[in-house]
Amino acid sequence: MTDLRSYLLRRLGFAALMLVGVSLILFVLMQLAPGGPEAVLIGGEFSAEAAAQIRARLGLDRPIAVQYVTWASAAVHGDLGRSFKTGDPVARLIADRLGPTLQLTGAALLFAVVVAVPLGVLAAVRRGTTWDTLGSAVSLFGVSFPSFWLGIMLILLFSEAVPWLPPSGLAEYGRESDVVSRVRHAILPTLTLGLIQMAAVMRFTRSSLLEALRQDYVRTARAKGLADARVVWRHALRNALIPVVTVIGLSLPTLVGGAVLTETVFAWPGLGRLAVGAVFERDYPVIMGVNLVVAAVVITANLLTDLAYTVIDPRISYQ
Amino acid sequence: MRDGALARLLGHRRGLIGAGAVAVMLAAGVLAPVAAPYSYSSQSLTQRLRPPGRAHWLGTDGFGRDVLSRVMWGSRVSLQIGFAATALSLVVGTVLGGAAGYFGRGTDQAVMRAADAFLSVPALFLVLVVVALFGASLLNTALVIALVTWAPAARVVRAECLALRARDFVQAARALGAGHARILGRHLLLNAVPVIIVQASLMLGQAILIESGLSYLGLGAQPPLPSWGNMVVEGRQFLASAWWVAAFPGLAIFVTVLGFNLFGDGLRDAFDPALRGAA
Repeated sequence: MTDLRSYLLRRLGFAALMLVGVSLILFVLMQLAPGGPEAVLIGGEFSAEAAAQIRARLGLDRPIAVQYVTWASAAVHGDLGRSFKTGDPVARLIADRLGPTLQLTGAALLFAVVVAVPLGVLAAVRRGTTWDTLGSAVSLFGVSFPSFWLGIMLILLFSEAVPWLPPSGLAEYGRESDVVSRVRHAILPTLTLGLIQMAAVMRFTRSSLLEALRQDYVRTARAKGLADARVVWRHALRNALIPVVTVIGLSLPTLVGGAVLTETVFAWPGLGRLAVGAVFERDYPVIMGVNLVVAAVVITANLLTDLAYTVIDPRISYQ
Repeated sequence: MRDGALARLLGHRRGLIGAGAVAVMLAAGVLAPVAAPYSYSSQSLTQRLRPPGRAHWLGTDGFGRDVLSRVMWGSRVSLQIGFAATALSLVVGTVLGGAAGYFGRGTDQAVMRAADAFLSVPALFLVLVVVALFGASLLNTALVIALVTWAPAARVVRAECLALRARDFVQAARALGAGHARILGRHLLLNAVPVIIVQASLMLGQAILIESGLSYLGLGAQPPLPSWGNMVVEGRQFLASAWWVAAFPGLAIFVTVLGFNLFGDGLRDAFDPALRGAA
């Protein structure tokens, strides 16, 4: 048990370290920006005297390490600055947009797993057949499709050619609480993001199940006369799913990054669109804040995946 | 190529299809100035939104510009940025990954933890930060793609160097008094070249996807310079009446990226037949 506890502590420490790393990357980029951090933190034009005043007020004349600590500790306390454009606290802007992004990425991940795992199993069990070919085609196409174009082609098919689904938005105006309307609006964006995400999960399910099917315990299970389906689903797949959980964790950054384009294509009011809009407005505090929060979400999700891993696999060694 | 790798590549059907797709897109870009049927920027109000036909094989866009010609010119932007970004990313990834794998200990820890940090920010969000701070330009696009793709390259090279480091010929070189630079450069990295080439092909596809995504957002190549991403976004508004304006440039991206991915798979199988069909 102490083993487990020290593993958990180490894993938590690692997550914290990653978050510090991300904040360092953002801080360094801010220092390198043309006009320096005062341009990033204040925005707009200002005279030399004003710049000096601002530097003193913001503590930019202090040593750089002190500046970093000040900036980072404010962020930890939820102070991400104010938007240049609207003057609103960045933390509140982000809080408003986090929900739609989590909803979109969560649904896409669910879709990807629900479709990709059975497809991966089929491809592995029927190795070398049409199912296998189909599976590898799906996974290859998935990593080669530009997501924004896939989204637009889905709109072309399902909202223009056959007007089944709405092409954009979160819900019809004034009907935001209508569940059916919200689900209908979510279908195309979820499909777009999910289809792309499917590829990695499918590919990995296939290869790790193939590996598992070669193991001795599978031969034993077969030898004692168990039905094929039972061997695959009950014995091999359960073990094969362990690395699949890892791959889901590893592909989270891609999933969340994909939301930037998907949200833009479908006018989905999430963090991706908030960030893109902020780029055009040069609204630096918003961009910085969104990045910190998104990284924190990804790192937390990864942490949870790793913890799930220790629950699924009792043999795991806490190294 | 070594040990008949070239022969294996030539016998790899999917790899060849990939190479063919890439070759066609490359040729379209290189030959665009002489072979494109129209100029990429000449507008014609009477020829707006013509469907694909004899005069315009892929139709015309909202300004009456020939879509085929623009797709051909667009491949120049995508491929140039793809190659530049990949080269940059591989240099950084190879140097850092090689150093991490060879020196181990503190160097390894520092490089790999930095790579982990970069990998935990979703690439497109990080790209947005850089573009906001430093502006949108072709050079910045290439730099920013390298910034978000060096980490996977470093991981792959590190793993290869770690495996090679323990081999007898490396021990022998060290016993003969070879310095760090010689062992790392000549014995480790040179032997890691096949892995790096495979990685390059897969990364080219990624780089082109990121570039097209950026120009879709309006943060990459700026009009009137055609890039596949900004052509798709221009076509978005005519989706109901003129599907071809958005469809063909997107198809070009898909074919190119698919080509690089197939070619990369073919290369991997050719260099290392043991890995065939794995992963």
